Amino acid sequence: METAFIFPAFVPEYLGNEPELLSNYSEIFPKRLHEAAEIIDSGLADFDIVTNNFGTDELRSQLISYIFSCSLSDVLIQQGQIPKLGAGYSMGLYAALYSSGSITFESGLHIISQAYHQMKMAIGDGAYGMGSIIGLNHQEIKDLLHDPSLKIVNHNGRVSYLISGKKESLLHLLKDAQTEGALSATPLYVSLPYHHHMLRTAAESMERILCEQHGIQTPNYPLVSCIDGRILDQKADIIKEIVRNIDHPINWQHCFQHMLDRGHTRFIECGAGKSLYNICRFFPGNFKVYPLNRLHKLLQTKD
Amino acid sequence: MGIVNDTIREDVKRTVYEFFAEECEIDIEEIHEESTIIEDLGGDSLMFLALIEIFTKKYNQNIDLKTIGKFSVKNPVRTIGELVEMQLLIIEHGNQIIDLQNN
Repeated sequence: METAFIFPAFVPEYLGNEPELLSNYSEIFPKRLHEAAEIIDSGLADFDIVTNNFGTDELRSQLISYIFSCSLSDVLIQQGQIPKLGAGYSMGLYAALYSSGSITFESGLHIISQAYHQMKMAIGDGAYGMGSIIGLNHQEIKDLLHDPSLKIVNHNGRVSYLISGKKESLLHLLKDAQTEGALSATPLYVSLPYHHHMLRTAAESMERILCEQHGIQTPNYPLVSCIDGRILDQKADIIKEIVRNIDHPINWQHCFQHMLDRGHTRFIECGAGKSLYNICRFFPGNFKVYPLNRLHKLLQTKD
Repeated sequence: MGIVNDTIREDVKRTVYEFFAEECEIDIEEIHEESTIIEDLGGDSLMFLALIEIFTKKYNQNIDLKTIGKFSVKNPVRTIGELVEMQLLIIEHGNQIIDLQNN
């Protein structure tokens, strides 16, 4: 049975027992956290998963998610779970790149930080954000998008989408979606319109930064693009994907289907929480996704 | 419209309890009617959607999701007991569930 690693975006809520679960296999997370604190931000060492004290700090949340995902990927590979394919959901791309050997742990920290600051610069002082709508289909949401700043940027499933844009318009949209019959319409705790074309200048800057400052390598195992499902197995593809991941919408269902089409039926969610497990349960097909809290079930199996 | 008898009532209750026990990795004995879905069990709207799909298939219903959404705005579900009652109403009334709030 072919294993694929899938990497979630930054995790807004933790179960709280992730380090404990991970420590059943290795003490790598605290080591990586300490390493990251020395490399990029000394405050990272104060991270407390129980209180999630970085919950409202967008950049630190992204860094912590990256560190956790990298740690888990290392543990899994040490345990003999060798992926044949991988994919990163949104900002999960960076951990996927680390796991595949395309970037170093240190490079990933810098790229995340640089991308975040470039995106901040690109939008200036405006108030932006993202929202989640569950229960309406693509057309039903499109019919509610009256402000051109609002874009559907993540297709998570038939009736599950994320929208980016100006915060005020976004809040109106979420209210309208609820009135229209959405099961859930909630803002996300982010201040950037991730995957929105208004971040084009940030993407262009990142292309220069990547070429000048980071030694991107050919991945050890191929990744699948979250944007268009293409296989990424060359250095040039990787650079292009990092750049496009900033200002292009993503389609996780499409990406996941590509992995299924290539015969992968066992997926390990390399991250805290179980957000991808929750999304993927609605996809058709005979497959299994193992989030961290079910990993023991996988590691008990022989095949 | 479906008829809700004791067998269906018991089936819905058992399915909901087993679903949350499995998804939230907790002992089924720890789940009660008063357990709050978000605070106590760590549930979310995707779990709610998954349950709707389970019952839609099981009871062969053609239910409009938006109808359930509109109904739940006016009749919010907070606890497991309320969720079971809502699923029973969906099975009993289908898309006509929306008319209940006008009565």
